[in-house]
Amino acid sequence: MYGLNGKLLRINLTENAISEEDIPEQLLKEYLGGRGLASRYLYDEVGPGVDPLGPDNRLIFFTGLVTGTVSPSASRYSVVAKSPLTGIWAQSSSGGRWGVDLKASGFDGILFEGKAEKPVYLQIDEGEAKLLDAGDVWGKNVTDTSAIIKKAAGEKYNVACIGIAGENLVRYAAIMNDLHRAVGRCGLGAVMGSKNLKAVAVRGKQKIKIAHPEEFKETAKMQLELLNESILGAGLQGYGTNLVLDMVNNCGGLPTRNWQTGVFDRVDDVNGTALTDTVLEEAVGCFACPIKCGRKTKIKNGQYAGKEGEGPEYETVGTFGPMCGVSDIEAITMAGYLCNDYGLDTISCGSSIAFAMECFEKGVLTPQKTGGLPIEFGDAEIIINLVHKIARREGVGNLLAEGTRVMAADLGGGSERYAMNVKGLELACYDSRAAKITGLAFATANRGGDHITAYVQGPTFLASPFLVIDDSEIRDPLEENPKEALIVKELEDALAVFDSAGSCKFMGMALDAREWCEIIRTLTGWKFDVEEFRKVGERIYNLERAFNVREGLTREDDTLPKRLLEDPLPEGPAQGHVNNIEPLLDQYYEFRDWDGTTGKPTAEKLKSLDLGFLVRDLCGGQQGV
Amino acid sequence: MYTYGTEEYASNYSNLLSARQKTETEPYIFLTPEWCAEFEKKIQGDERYRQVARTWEGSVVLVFLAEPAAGLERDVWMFLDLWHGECSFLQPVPEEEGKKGEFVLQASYKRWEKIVKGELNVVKELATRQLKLTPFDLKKAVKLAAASQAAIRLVELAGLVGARYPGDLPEKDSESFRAFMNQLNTDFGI
Repeated sequence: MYGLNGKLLRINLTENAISEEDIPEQLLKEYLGGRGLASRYLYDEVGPGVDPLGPDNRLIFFTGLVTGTVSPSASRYSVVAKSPLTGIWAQSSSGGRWGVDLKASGFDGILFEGKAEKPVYLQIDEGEAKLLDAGDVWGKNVTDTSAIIKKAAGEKYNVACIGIAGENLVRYAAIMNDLHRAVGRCGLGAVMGSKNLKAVAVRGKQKIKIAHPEEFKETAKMQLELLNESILGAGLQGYGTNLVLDMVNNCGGLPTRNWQTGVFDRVDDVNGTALTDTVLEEAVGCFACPIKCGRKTKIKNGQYAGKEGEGPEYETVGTFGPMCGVSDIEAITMAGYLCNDYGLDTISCGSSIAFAMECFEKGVLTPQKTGGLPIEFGDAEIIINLVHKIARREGVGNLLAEGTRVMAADLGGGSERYAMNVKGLELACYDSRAAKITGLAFATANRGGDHITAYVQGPTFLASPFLVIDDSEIRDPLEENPKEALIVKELEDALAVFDSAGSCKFMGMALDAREWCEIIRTLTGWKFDVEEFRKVGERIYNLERAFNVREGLTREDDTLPKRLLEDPLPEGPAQGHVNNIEPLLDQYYEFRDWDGTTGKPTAEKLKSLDLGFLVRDLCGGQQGV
Repeated sequence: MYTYGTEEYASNYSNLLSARQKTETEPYIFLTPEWCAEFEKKIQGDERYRQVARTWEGSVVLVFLAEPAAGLERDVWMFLDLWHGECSFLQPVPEEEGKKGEFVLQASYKRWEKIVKGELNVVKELATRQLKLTPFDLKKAVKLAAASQAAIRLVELAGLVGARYPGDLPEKDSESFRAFMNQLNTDFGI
């Protein structure tokens, strides 16, 4: 088999049993590994109504076809499970080099089921896997856990693990690898914690077999050259992802003070230039990536001086900064470091704090509930204090650890209006009132209110096209143009392919589909053209949707928080604008060939994507819906 | 030929511009001195540009590569002195002066025309290297990437100036345009 090892490691934690399974090549062709293949296993093995934090949930790590090859930016792996934050399909991916090392260990993926009786970690060395006692590292954070395991097992092991937040089942706990890289979204760290699984340490030297080695090498080299002269790549290398903060603010869409406005008046204190001038040590990249959007940083001033780590990236700056009304770049950086060490998703964490700040401001969250702690916008120290409390579930942190949807249900007082999540997943830092089509993408993303499922924020806020689809141009971001729903659909499909193959989504901005298909063709020897590329993406997207529909999701769930639908932005270039989602949704369902009333994929669509086996689950045995 | 950078050059260029502003009818022909002067005024009066380009530092030179079939017989180098949202100078300049600009962006004439008309997206042109930073320099590319919104606004403003494009001119006007550009080259090295 080319590209992958063709092997899945299955770990039954309840039984302490380890087994190997062959992965049928047909499944690899249909899903390419990564997000797609893991989602197929999830669909098949996790039926409706399963408790995300119970033993029947699965936690599935999967590398993709290109992971670990010399194709540029091919470092990524995905983790898939049912989410404890949203209650639906969950996926998150991460770079660094852990995924590369997993593949080199001889397995493409690991599927965990059940729950260990006591804390354990998995160690894989050249195809040999064993479960080991994690008593020494339980209760430790990411840095210490990684160090202790490496000391015990050997420095060459690469560790993915949870911190204290995952152990405490914080609903947006992350899985961390390479110390600073996060499988951040949807609370997959809590799923890991619920299984008493602390870490996965891998090492190996397995080589990846390539069908046409010379052609593959040549294609990868050509793409590397393209990336080396990419303006976007240069921008990301220069400023990291925080490059975009100014641009989003310029559009009036930088969520500020929990989305009460879209313009932050102290943007120059927290933008890419500020980050570069204050804490940046050097740009760092994932395996085989010439872009190097990561930031190795060190805090040089203030009370956190001397602390060092990686980040913050844009979303971390956006949520702990403007969203909380904070302009102290050192405190924001420190909050990011803490999240990395505790294993927390910075978007959901910062958003939950910002939401608490507004609830406190409005008197919905009272001093009695906060234990006398004032939680006020602009207070840099309180965000640090709250990150600790959330991870440890101490005091008011126990409430914030549940995420904004549960917080709003608990606090009441109309706070659900400004609990900024979709399907329970906190929204990233792009106010869709300032770029209407991004509201559709938030509403329809399979994992909830997510920005990088379609990343239509690229063509809108950043004016940066995605070359991987034929036309990604948004004519006027402030207009709802139903025809542009096609761009969301096509990007959702295309980026599902990138997640599945193990490639960074930024590649979709730099390469067109034909160029990218060459990588798959020369790697695997398969006939893989643009038509197949589009079909695989659409298949994966519909499979994930089917999982959610089976959980009871309907069109009514494809919506936005009331604030975005009803409260006009008060200032800036998008002043007066709200989201009008319905006309976009109607057209989107039409492009998807999903039922406009129920939001279900039609039987015909499923069959055309070789997903006929879903028809009975979704359509009750009928041929139509 | 007048020597660029001298008082004589500046004064003769200024006289030429004044004369043509009186004799030529609007919209002016694209890339002529009078069109460039209108473009400069548009930038100077634009609040949106001032805001999105507030951190921009450095001169930008737009190179329109000759395409005789599209009506442009020799390269035009347009120099824009841009600093913190202000435009203090915008003129066609001799090639050797253009090469001194900090950010030299080059594309074929027809692509530029399509960009200004809004038929091509300037950021996509940069991403696909149809519009090239010449020579490529990573540090400069970093700055350009951060300034994409300013680039978009500049292009929008160029479109708002309005223009008659060389390739669309009636035969008689086309001949006089060619003659004028030749004279411009003879006198000013442009």
